[in-house]
Amino acid sequence: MAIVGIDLGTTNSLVCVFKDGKSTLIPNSIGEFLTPSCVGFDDDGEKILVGQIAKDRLISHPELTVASFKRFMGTDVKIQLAGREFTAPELSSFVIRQLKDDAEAYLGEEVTEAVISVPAYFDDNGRNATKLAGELAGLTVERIINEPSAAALAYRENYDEDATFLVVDLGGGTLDVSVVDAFDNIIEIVAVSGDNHLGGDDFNIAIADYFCKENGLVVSELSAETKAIILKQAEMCKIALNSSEPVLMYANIDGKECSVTLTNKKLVEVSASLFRRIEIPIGRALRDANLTVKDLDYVVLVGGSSKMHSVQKYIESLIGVEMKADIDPDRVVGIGAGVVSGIKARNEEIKDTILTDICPFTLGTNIINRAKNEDPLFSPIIERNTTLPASKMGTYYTVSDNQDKMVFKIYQGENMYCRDNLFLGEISIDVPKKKAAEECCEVRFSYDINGILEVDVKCVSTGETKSTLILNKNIKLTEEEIAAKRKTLDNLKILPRDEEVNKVVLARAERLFAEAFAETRDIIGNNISRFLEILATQNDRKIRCARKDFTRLLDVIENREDSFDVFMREFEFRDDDEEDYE
Amino acid sequence: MNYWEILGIERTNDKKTIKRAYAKKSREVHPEEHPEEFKRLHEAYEYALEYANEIGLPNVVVSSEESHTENIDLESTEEENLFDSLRKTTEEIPEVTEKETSSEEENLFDSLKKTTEEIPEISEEESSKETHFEDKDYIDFEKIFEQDAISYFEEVKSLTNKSLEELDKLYKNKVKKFGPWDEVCKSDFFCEAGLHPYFVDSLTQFTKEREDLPKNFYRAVCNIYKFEELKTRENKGNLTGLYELFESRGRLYLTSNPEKSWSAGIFSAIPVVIIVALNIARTNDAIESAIIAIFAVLFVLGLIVYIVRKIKNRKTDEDRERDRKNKEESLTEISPTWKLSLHLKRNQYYSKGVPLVANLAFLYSILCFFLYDDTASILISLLVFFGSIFVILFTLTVNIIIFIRSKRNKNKPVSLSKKKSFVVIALINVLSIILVISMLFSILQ
Repeated sequence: MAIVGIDLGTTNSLVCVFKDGKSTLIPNSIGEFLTPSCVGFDDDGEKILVGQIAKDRLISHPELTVASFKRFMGTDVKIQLAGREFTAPELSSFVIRQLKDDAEAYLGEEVTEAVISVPAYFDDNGRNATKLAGELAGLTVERIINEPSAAALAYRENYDEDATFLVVDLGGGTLDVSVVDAFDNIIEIVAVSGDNHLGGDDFNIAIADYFCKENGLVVSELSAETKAIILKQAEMCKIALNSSEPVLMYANIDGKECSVTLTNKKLVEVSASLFRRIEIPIGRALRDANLTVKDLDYVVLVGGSSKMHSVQKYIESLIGVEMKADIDPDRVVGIGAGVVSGIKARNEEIKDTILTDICPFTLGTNIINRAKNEDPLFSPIIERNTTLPASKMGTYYTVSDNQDKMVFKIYQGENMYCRDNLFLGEISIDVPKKKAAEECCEVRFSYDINGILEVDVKCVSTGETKSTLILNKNIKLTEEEIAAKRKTLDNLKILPRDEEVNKVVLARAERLFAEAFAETRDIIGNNISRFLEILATQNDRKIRCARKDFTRLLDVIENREDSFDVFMREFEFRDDDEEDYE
Repeated sequence: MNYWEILGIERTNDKKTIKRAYAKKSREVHPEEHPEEFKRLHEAYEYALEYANEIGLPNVVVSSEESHTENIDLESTEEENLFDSLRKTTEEIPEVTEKETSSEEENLFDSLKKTTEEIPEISEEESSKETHFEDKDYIDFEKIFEQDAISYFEEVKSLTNKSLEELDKLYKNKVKKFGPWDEVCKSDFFCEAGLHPYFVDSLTQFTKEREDLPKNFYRAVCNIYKFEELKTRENKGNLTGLYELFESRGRLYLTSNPEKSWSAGIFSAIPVVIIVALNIARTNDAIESAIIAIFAVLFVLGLIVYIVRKIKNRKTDEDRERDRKNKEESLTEISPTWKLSLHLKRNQYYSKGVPLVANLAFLYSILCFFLYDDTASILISLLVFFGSIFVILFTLTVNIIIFIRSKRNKNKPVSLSKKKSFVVIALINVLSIILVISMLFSILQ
């Protein structure tokens, strides 16, 4: 009966549990903390493969494997996999199931509940989809937590003096900024802001554009593969700039050798517009929080792209306070989710810690637009950055004589017109027929700590009340439906943990086989068949030894060490008597 | 309990005290266990912080007024003192805070820019220890941004010049002048810089200098800037100048194009003119047959024009879906009387296509009347005759209702050109009916 915290990421997922007074990362079956968010089928199309094994098969078996499905959370997109159709929550549930198994193996007890993190920009659909994914994996998911808030909690564990700080989460495709006020036992998220279309990928594109411009290449004339190569090179160049400069970016385009030298300064010059866009959400979050940069004690950097040297320099020049990035940006959210699970489990050591989060978007209803009837306006009720749990009321009047009914449609968003916002649900109430504006209704929105919105409507003159829970029609299923769906998914067996280790090695070997050339390829091929032979003997000890050797061989091949050729020629699976590996 | 009692402290503007009290109380009402109580506590905390920020909101009563008045009685002296001290501080503070806030709001980062300008010497030393970067590595973001802005503006300038050159080429080319403006307006360089103020200003200037630009130009520009959507918006942003220029020239081509109603009216007028000619020419057989032939051609042409236009304006599934949604949404909030008006509004197409077809059918029936002698044909033509009269009358009434409504309802502005077209169509309809009736009389006599 344990509660775990899960960071369900786009590229990697991880699971944490609150143990011995701190959030502890749980290793998976191959001893890694990060489990790639990849799902695939094995060659027979029967067993599900999750994690590193699936990631390795992405190149060798692209039609049987998928990744990056988090982008489709909360949409109706169906993902094709091995001739079957899956939704993003279904695929995510496989990952969660794997993490759950890992946690159970680690803790030695059943895991029943999970706290799952989502990006702050996720709308109601995305949140519900994440919840559904957890439920499909057989977990109760009461709490969804924003990733920057989780990161704030994780840092709070390390720095416990009172502070007001900024969490800047610059990921692959999005930027989230949170203003956090931490004192005593309280961690209060004061304001959240962000740019949903600014991330590491944009910098790659900027570098690639510069590369093309310098080498006289016209982007629109390049083939998709060439573009992919340039983008990949740009990304590598961007990463290399974090440790040294200048960096030479090089690519062979249709037989023509193209190269360009980049420094951090040049990078800032070519992507100046992107850098300027970082300033906007930071300024907005500070304004929303009624603070200035002077009030900040430090800045916490989260997300892979915040590792960029120039980004760090820029934020430093912008805010001028200490930067903290000492927890691995890939793990910090998972650790934070683990802390939340500790709070949720009412763990004695962290019982009093309070994380108050805020509603990152505005919730409201529709009102008539006199200028254009068919285009109703949006009337906010719960403004964004309201602390949860929140409860706010608005009063609405009838607009025409003899109106006998009022219909409230509930929307989420910041736009002036309803059509631009996300529709969540509706509620209608009968009112006595009277002259326009002589009847009114009170609409109360209650948004609780678990992110569930309840709407109550009360007709003032008759006292009639109606209430509805907003559950998204597409994403939110009834309990029976979830149970039925879970049953069908349960029939798809995930590979058992002990078998998995061997499969991971094999999958990796197959991936390297696909990537390698000539001689290396033969060597890998031969050793794969040797390894399979050993597996067939079912001798545990022998298999363990062979696995270890094989892994070493693969390490050498992948890292291209100096002793590469010598090692390869001499490589042999050792006999189990030679050395005790255990 | 008032907010301060919930927090368990005296009224204060010291944020630290408030925070400490909030933290202390929150241990008792953790949101996991007591969400309602916590909500109230947090409300109190937010209020107290706001109070501390603004220093001195007069009333802090939550629910029980009695306890508050008691409080005042008991603490009146204290409160006076408190306010006195507050007054002093507020007298001193405002100027400072105002200055601070105003400058901070505008240049949230300026103060820091200054500090960072001073700092480099120290920070560089520090950073050089930590990372592998040299002193010269210091990146002057402000300078780079400035240069970027300049180079971006240069780019916009060149794109603008390119676009305007293309437009000018079209304008000067006598053959193409009435041709492919649309293509230029949809070109990459037009789209890329199109919303930049410099671009819009240049385009406005371009339009101002050339009085005799063809219709296609205006139509293409209206299309690309989506003036239809701008119409209902008060703030048109950069496009205000251009929009007003177009409006003043009467060249606003929105999707519900008044032009079409005009042409529909003209088209429905032609057959009426022809039938008058027919009537005159009835004496001579050869001429009559010639005129009938011309009329037949016109009849077919009119129909083709009508059908082509219908097909062109055909709604896609997406449009229909949106219409349906709009209809549902707008109908739910409004009373039956509003519904009727909406219904009428939606049926404005009566004023465009229907009169044309009705008039043509009407004329066709008359033609049959003249050409054939057998009773069956005459019966059919009579049927068509009365049917078309009904349609014309219906259209007329609807048009009149719309016209009156548009006059009465000031909330819904109806543009002048639209009003004109209503009047013209109504007049043509009346005219054709009068003509036909007079003709009937003459035939019967």
